[in-house]
Amino acid sequence: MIKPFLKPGPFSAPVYFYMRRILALTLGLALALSLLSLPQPSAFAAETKDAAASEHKTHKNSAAGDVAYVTNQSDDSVTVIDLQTLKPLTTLKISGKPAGIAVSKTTERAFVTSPEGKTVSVIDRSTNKLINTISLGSGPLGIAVHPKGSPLYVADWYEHKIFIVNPESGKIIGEIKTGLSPSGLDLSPNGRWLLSADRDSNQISVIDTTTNKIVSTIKTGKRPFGLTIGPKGQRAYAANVKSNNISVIDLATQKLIKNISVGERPYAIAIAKSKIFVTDQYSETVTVIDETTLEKLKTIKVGEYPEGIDVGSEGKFVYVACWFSNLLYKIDGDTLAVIGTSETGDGPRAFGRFIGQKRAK
Amino acid sequence: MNLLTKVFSLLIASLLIVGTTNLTPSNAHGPTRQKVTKSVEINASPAKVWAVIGNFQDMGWHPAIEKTEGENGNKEEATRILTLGGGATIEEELLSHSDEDMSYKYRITKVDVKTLPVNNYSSTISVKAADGDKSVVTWKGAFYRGYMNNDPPEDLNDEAAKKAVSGVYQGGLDALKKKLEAK
Repeated sequence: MIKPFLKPGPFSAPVYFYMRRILALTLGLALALSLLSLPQPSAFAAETKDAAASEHKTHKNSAAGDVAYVTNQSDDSVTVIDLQTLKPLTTLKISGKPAGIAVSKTTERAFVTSPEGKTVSVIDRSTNKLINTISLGSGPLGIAVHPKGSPLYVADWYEHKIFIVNPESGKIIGEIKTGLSPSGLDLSPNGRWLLSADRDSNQISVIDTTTNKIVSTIKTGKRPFGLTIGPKGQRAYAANVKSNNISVIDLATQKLIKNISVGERPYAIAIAKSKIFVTDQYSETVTVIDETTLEKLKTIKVGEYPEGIDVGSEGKFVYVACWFSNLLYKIDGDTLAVIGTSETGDGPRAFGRFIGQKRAK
Repeated sequence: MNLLTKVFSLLIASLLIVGTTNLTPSNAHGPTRQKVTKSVEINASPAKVWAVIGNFQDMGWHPAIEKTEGENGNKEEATRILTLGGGATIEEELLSHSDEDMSYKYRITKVDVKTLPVNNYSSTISVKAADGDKSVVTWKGAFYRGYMNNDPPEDLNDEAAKKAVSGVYQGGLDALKKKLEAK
């Protein structure tokens, strides 16, 4: 995890700085390790109980209805869609080629990255209005919000780091150096672990959010892009765009369980009804895999260039944004049938957690 | 300064800026994928149109293509090399092909940005029936611009990529219509 940050040539001063810091860190780490045994496995085990409790709560509230915030990169907008009626409620203009999205499960906020505008736009979901625009970095794309609603984590494709942002003030409160071109981000249900798919390093970085330090890196297939932690917090899944497979990671041991082949150019992953749903951009399908046996169950035909994928709050329906078709598909997680579609704007990506329960009156 | 020198010096410049820590330009892509769709209505039956364009190993119907050489016919992962008027080439791979749907999908595996200023290009061409035994041919492309990093030069930006692909599609579809309706 340290090597890639060493910069040769014109960066000799920072190298010296880093070397000193690395030395200090190494000594510190050695000391910490001598005092404590590794905390990760037990922390992950504890998570399972939390997740089960929160899952129960979500089910009770599902009557409120879900809303999707779909980023339309080609026409600079976000379509807000009622997922029961599959009708767009409103469209927000958001400039700078919006792509990434993080809808908070606990607050009234949704956050949108615009990689070309180099901004994060803050949406108030109670009014569905844009309330703030935060400028940061060189290419913000992946985004995730802490389960408690704060802070916000924004991956920068070009600067190879994650910005930690206060969602209310819009201030950058920290940075975490990652591997190359961090893309998909996701947090464990209890907020303790932040995972980053470092696309051009072919790895996942595991970050402890209490220290904002990388505790391990895990090798994946080639060019991991979308990244999702399962609802129980035990596993993470990465979609490997170049090797046409997904990596299944056990979080307790922080080890790769298996790479499973899917369709052409997988983009992102959602988990529902103990199944793994993967969007295959070139194949125009969603590959469905049994979470327990890790065997392929079905490939579902959807629109052209399926990209962003997420699951409703009831844990049953899966929604897929199809970038070329300008449609959002709704899939039943039990029957695996396509139930319907909604129109979106032009070029929907919806990269991230784009669904939340209805807040607007 | 010719285009090649310009592209080359930009590459060098970008390498100097990012140092050796960074991007592998062939794999990293710019932030925004572009799309282009062009259609044409042709006064000929879908079967007739498909007979002209449905063979992955023959792009002879497109006026810009001088030669098509390839392997494995219309099978998945079949390849072809298109040679253009000036001798430049485009290498492509077939992703899927269906005579039943009258549609095939392919991607470019190798092209110089001087020839076509795009990266990660994939495309579908299809024929659908229209009223009165006519056909509609639709050609769709998805791609990133020629310059993969931030702040692209004008000839390698999003607009340049879209313009080039639109030109290829329009030129091909216009010629196809002319050829089929002349008979």
